[in-house]
Amino acid sequence: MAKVLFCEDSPIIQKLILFSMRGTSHEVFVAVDGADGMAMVERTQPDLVFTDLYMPRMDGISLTRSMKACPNVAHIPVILITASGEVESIDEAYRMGMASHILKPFSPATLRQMVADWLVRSACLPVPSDASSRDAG
Amino acid sequence: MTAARVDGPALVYAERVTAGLDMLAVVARKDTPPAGDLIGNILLLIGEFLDAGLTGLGRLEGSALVIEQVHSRGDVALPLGMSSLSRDLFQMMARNSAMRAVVVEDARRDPLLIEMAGGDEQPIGAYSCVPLHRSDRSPYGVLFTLHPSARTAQDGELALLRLGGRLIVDALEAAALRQEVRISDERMQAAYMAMACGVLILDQSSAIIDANHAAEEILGLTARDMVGRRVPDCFLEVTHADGSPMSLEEQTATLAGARDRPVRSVVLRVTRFDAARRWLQIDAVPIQKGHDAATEVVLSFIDISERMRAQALIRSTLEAQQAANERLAALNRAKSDFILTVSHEFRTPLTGILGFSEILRDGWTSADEVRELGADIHADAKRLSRMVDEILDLDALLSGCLSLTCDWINLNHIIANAAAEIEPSHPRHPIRLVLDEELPSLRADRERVEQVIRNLLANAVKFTPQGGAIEIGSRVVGNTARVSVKDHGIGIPVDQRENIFERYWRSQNGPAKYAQGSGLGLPLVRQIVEMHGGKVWVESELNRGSTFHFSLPLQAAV
Repeated sequence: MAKVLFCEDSPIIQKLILFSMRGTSHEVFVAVDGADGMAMVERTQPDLVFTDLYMPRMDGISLTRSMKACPNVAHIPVILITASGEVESIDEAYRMGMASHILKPFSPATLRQMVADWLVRSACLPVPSDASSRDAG
Repeated sequence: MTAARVDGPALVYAERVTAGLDMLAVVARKDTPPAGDLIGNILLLIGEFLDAGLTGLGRLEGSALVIEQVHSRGDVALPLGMSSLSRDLFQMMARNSAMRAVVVEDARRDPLLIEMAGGDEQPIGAYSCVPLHRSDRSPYGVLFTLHPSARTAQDGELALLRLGGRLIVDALEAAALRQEVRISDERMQAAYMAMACGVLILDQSSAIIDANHAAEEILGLTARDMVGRRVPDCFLEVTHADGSPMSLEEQTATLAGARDRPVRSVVLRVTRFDAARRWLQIDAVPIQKGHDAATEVVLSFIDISERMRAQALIRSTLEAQQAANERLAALNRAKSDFILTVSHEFRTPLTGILGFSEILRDGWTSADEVRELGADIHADAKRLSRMVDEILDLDALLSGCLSLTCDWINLNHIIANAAAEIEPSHPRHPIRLVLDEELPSLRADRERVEQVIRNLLANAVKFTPQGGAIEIGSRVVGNTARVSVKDHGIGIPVDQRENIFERYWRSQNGPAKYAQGSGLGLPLVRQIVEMHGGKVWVESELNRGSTFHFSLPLQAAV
């Protein structure tokens, strides 16, 4: 069972994510902003992180930057949930090491498909050496 | 004179000629008698003193001799007349510059006349003729005498004739010159008076001695008022063109000085005694009179007020245009930002509507969940609808399409209702009411005031992300009713406190960027409050919270 963390401040989107992920076997975590998300990343060591762009306290890009700077979570793929107009932010996010992005409004089926695809891909990705012993299983 | 006429002795003749010369000298000394009178007198004198039957003045006109004036002594003149012979004779003498003055004592033995008469009988006994030349040496004509019989000329006769001729030409030329000067003077005076340029003539003490019509008109004073004054005393105030003060020394140097050097195109602003303001472009030139050190000054000026006003208008129009362009550019940028913001804000409820409806469509949900998601979809749709309303509302209010419908309203009721409406959906934000029970009713648009209070409460909730109390109060301050909404939110940086009321403006870096909304709530609040004649402002402390205040006039019947 994979762990997926969603960082999203909007209660509506949070609820939509929870409903969308129902019926999958994954363990779903929700953080209300980037700072909350960073704490949860370290605590829960998720397999995949989705983050909104604009959030109070710490935004999605800062979260990605923090994760990439932190060796034991740097390998976790981060996917940006964003609106199509924010091209510059998307570019910036990719420069920060963001793995992919999904555009709002998104359909629950697309979200589930994206989670499934990235879990497969991240399983195939080389695991960083310093984390290899712990994450070998 | 007739008594003195005795036959022939030379002495009498000589005395007569001498007396004639003296008389001519007296006539010539008389200053400026009309030329015609002078010529008549000279002809009379010469005729009388030389005992001539006919004395005359002939003037060349082209090549013909015109007899201008004659003096005749009746008894001897009649047989002489002006024959064609004498006319031809004098005409020939006038035209021929080589001819000299002659006195012919016996005309019947004069070879010239014999030749011209061609053997015919002729009545002339004796004659004399002086060719006259103008001062430029061009031939003028002749002075002549005709006598009925041969005679003996006396010493000095020729001198008398020459002097008479000279006096005549001088008198004629002087008269012509006087006429020319008079015409020129009249022309100058007419030009001086008619010119559009104002002219003042100043004496050596800088007092005005003359002013033309334009000067009277431009300065708003009559020449009589101005004469004797100094120029700076003709105005209430004299300043530089830009209105900056000018010392009396500077004024004097420009308006009255100019003795050592001319003033060229200096622009001054003057205030006339009737308070009218004029811009004058001034030139001042000293006139040197001969070698006299004391000089007069000609001060000329044109009224360039229209030009200055036009320039000022153009300048201010350009500045206004530029400011308008800058405002437009800023508004345009803000509008682009707004579109980005709105599209972002629209996406959240849209994502909910699309996502939840997809989940409902796929039918994995219990009956309770169907109701719950249905309610969520409804709420999101309402939110979208409200955002659209706000956009349209603000546009309509700003463009003046919507006006207020005023009524007597109780602010406290409106506040309480709005709080009761918003509180259930925000359990983490208790709303505390601090209402002044004495608050009188006031005239305002109920729906719009409700909108203002709802917006401020929603704002307070929105920017207090961690939860916390919201306080809303009312009180009377002066002759206004003041409503204050206090949150314990993130606060607003000082440099953004005015911007938040601007249409389409949203914080680009501040935490407000993450809040939901159209970005139109506060601009709407300001527009509505200002349409009521009130005002809205904010006090804030970063990370401690903000208090939004608005005040509405109490008595004003809006």
